[in-house]
Amino acid sequence: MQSRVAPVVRAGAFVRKEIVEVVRQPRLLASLVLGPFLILLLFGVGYQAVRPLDMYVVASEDDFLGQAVIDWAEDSGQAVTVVGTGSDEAEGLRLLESGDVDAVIVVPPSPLETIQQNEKAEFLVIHDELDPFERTAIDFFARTSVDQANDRLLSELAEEGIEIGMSEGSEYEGIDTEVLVAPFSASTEQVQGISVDVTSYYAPAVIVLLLQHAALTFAALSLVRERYLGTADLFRVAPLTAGETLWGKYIGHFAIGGVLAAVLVGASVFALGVPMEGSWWQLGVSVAGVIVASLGWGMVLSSLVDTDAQAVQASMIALLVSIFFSGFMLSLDRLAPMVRPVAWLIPATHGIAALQDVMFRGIQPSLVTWGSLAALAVGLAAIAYLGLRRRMRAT
Amino acid sequence: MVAARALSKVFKDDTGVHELDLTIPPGTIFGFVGPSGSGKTTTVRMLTGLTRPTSGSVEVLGSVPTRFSSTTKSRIGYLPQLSALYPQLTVRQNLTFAASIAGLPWLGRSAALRRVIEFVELGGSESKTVTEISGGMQRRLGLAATLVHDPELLFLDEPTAGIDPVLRRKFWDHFAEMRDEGRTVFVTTQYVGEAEYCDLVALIVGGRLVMMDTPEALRRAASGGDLVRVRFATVHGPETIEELSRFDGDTRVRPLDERSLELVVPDAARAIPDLVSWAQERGLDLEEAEEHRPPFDDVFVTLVERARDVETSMEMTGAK
Repeated sequence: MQSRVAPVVRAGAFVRKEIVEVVRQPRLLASLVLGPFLILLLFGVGYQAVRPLDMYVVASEDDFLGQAVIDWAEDSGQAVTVVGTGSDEAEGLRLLESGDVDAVIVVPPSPLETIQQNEKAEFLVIHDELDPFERTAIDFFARTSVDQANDRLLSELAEEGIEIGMSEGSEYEGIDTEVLVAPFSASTEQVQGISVDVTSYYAPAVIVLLLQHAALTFAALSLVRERYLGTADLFRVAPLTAGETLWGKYIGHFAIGGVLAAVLVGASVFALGVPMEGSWWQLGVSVAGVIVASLGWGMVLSSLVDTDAQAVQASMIALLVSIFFSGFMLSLDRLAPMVRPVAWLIPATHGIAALQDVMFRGIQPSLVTWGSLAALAVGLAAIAYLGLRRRMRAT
Repeated sequence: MVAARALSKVFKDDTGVHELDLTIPPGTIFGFVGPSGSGKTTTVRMLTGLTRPTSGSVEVLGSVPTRFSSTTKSRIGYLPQLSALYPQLTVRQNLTFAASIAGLPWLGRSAALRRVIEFVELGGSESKTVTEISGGMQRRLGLAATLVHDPELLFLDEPTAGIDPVLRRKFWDHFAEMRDEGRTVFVTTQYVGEAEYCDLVALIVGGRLVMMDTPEALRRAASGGDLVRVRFATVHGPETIEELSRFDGDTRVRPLDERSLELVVPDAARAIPDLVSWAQERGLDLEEAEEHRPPFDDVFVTLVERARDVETSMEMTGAK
């Protein structure tokens, strides 16, 4: 006859077994607990709530409005930094395209004359920001600058005793009240590419992140699985080198990743209507770079972990890191400089930038972007090769 | 073909293989027999270059296993203890993969696949996935994958473990065929009885080689000679035992029951006719006289116990 405590005993067997199984996998434990903790810690340390905007101000020398913008930037703390001023707009645009500044603010050249013609003098803020949230921040900056300029002009006019209003004989007689109370307006302009909505904006990032996750996970599981099945020993006895093994696995997984990429991009562009402004071959090169670099990370992780569970957990950690640090969720500019190297090591960081360039700006990704992907792909493949060669040696 | 001298692999807990000497000539079935955990797999791993020995030397096909060239590796086939098959792939796909990693060219490969599929009798199951075939078929598929590149030296680690006796016998028939084709087959097994099918057998216990010889020589070593069993029509008396103990010099006689005796003789083939004549001369009604081949399990137990006795006495002598 079964004792009354038998159910407890039977259940207890699982309690003990489950705990022992987990405790005996220190790497799994470390990745489960320490991994997410370290990511959050790094994010907490590296995330900057206020993104410092570097500006170039185009204004004629001694222009009081240009000075108003500079004064306001100084008063803003670290939010806005004027990194240069000059009267040449082309110089500002050059700095913007090279990424040395985040925006160029063009101060209206003859504001009083414009106002006297019953028109608002317009501040033009030129930027290269695709991120809708960052664009909002720039719009906000532009409006705030204009408010500042409005205040400054009205104060100066008042100090100089110029009569403002619609009274007879006034210099500003006949000017609309709306122009008089806010003589300046602002408009923003994107230097290149198209303006995209929030959904479209995230499409390249989602494509890249999914590709990276799939490639990394498949690769991470691939070598672990060989060890689990016992085929890894067969490889070591067979006339097979680490290079041949890796090369074969890369091509196989690359083919799978390529098909997945085609499906994702096709669905985004043709079914969801995500813009595709650039060339398809540039998109192809960028996607290929993401897949190969991600496979590299997967292969490297695979040589470090011992079990399927550890491989899956490692790929989840990689996904978490990518969400926080690749520019998927937040602009890389919001990361403290000391944390940015983490972002550079993530294939998605460069992949997202590349796909945004091709799909939204219609331009070829910079050599830095493609070069970073290539460097990651080559570097990680080399590390994976050394790791596998070590594993294939006699123990 | 394979030569090991004082080959040792010692693990942290002092288990492993100690001072192993092996010489395996080409074209033989070499049985490496021992209980589970006796060091068989460790030895195979050292011979195939998977594990680096702690000490000693080993040469396989004229090379040190940890420094095998691709050419040497392509002359070796290895069947690990685990099935080492891809469950989602079909029988043919698994064999194709094995052929590829062995470097078999794409052209002309199908003939090799056909040959091994026929050899292990898996015809008709080529399109089934590994999960769809039985454990015995999986083991045969593993063997086929080992043979697909036509190796001249095979290391088969417990190929018959966990499969039914009929299939086990088939496996040994396959090994004999391979030997007849000129291959050298190194087989580990924990089924002591399978030593019978080998040309040369090494017994290993606790990581130490107990004995290495032909199965017949091992059997003789265990019993001290050939065994002949005789049965008389009437009850034998002590005088018969006494007389038989002087038969053919010094003969050990053991009563089995009141009418049967077991004799240990130097050569059973010569002793049996002599025994018949001996009985006729004495008017004894000898019903039966035949050579007895004890099961290999008994041979194994005897040899292992003897080795342990020697070891114990050596330890005691050393202690004194």
